[in-house]
Amino acid sequence: MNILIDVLPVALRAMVPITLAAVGEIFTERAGVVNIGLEGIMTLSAFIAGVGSWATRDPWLGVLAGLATGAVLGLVHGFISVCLRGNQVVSGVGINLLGMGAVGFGAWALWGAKSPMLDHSFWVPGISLWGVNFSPFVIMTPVVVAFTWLVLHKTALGLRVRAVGEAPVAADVVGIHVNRLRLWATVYGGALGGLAGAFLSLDWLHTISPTLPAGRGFIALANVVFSKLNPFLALVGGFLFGYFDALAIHLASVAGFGGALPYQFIRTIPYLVTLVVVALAIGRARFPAALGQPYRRE
Amino acid sequence: MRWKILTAVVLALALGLTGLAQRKICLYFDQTGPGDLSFNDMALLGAQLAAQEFGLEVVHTTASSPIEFLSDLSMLAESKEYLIIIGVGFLLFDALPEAARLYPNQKFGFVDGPNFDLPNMIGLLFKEQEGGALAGVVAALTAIAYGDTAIGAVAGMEIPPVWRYEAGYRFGAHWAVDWYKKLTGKDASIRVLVTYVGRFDDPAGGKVASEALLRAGARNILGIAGATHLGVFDAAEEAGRAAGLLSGPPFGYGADAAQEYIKPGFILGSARKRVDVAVYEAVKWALGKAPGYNLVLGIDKEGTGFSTKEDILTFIDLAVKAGYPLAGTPAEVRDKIFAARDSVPPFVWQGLAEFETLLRAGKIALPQADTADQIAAVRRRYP
Repeated sequence: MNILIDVLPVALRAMVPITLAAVGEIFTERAGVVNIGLEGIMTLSAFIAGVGSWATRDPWLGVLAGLATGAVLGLVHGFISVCLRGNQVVSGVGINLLGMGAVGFGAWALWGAKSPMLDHSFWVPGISLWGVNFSPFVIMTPVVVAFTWLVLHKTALGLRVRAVGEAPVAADVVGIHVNRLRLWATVYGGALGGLAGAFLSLDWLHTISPTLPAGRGFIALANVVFSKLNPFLALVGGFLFGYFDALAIHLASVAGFGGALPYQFIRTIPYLVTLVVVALAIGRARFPAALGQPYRRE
Repeated sequence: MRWKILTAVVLALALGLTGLAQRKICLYFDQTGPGDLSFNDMALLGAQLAAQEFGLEVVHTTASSPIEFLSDLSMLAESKEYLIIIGVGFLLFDALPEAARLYPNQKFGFVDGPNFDLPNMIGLLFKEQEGGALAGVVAALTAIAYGDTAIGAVAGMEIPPVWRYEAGYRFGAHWAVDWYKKLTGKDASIRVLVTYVGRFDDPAGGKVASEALLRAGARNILGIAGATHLGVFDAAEEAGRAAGLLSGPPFGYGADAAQEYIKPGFILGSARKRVDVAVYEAVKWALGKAPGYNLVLGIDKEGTGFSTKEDILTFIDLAVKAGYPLAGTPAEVRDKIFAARDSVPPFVWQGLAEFETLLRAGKIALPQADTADQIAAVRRRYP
């Protein structure tokens, strides 16, 4: 049963991108905007973070570059879906395609390889606590979760954000700038996606690739539903998925399950577990009433 | 007026003739395409070499999705511009033979895929077992040298070229245990743990799988998963650095290209697969009149093998030319790689040399692994 504890450090890292991106998306969706471009945001931010770390020789400046990239992509999505009232799904798909294409081309042009690995001098250094080496992102993630929850549920700003997601007309009547708030909420969501991307390239995988998140952006979207748009539940969902994903691969690799069960089945375990938890314990998610609907002042 | 018609006729003739001469090679990649500094880039290198030698031109394109394989290939064949269209990657196994049937006057080549009696197609296959077995010998002997009881491999999808690598790797490890007993009289036992991640483009999956293998005591891990096995290299380096080491074990092993330059000191060797040689041979075939057949490249034609020091230098050079972010100057990278090789006990290299000699002499029968049943049998026989 040692394996259940041994996979913990792996699971904690696997939790980070799914949670950060999901919490950002929760904030965005609370304001009434859907951004399915998380995968693309993570891919491109991972690349720009790598370039930043490589160019400045400072991994934290790289992280900042990744965060900024996510924010800019969030701004682009916000501009299209809020200001131009474009189709949010189409814009999100566009961002996903942009991320993959831009990284494939950019990394190739810059380093002659689509999936270059980063030298350890570009890595974000770990933090030593009680003799255990922690990724700073593993510590940062719950802080971001708590911060986002506090803002959403305990501040006037959060109340306004939720108001423009639920009833933009009413919010407008009481003098809230609906579209401006939605735009900033999308930027915040994008920035957290960018942070998740920077984690992928500079802390977890030390690699840049057009498919670096390998579907984790979409799992983050599922995590939004799983968590019923509650940041703390998103942390739980991110951890559950990360834990069972790591456990499944560990079982497949080591316990000889690989021979008895096909790996395709073993790799579905985290999805099945998440599904069962949603079905049994969590129940139906309720989304903001005005989610995905552009607001036009009458 | 007349001279105008004359010019037009001459021009048309000239254009027609150049069209007929078909001086272009087309490479069609199933996914990813060039820029991997491995499988795909080697295909391109082989085409470029052939182009230089025979005065041809190279054109390449990458599929955007499997749905478009057949329509893309048909379009390329319809254009009648190409001397040969070479499909690169096993995923074209349906579309490429179909296209070859539809366009009998167009010559095709298929890297990683077989040709079933089509006169206008050359199948370019490899004995991946050989490279896998050589890597298995080195990995198992290194594991024995450092007191491990397991070695690992992180694989991509369950397709025949990957199965052949796995089969060879398992065979090589078991051969090494027997050889070690003959050499020293001491018993050793090595388990071979192989994880299929299911994708060729998921470094995170590769890393998590490698961490599992490391945890199980397998500190020598072969990557046979494209970009996924970059995670193997990363896990090896990270575990090594966490233990204060600047060189393995843990060691990763690369595949296809000589990938040591990616993580100097933490990649001990690579199972080579010379895609460049295959593509070059395909172009040569297209220039001739021979009907299609299956070209199977093995160690006898230098199509497979374990990376030599020359291979390593070639690929460092290639990476430098591409602008790859190397960990240090090319000389530093080279020295680190060679130092890692010198750091393992000499009997590892003695075992490798002996196995290679036997293999070249045809005295070793490697297991077949072209079907699911065959690989299942190999897994039972060489656990």
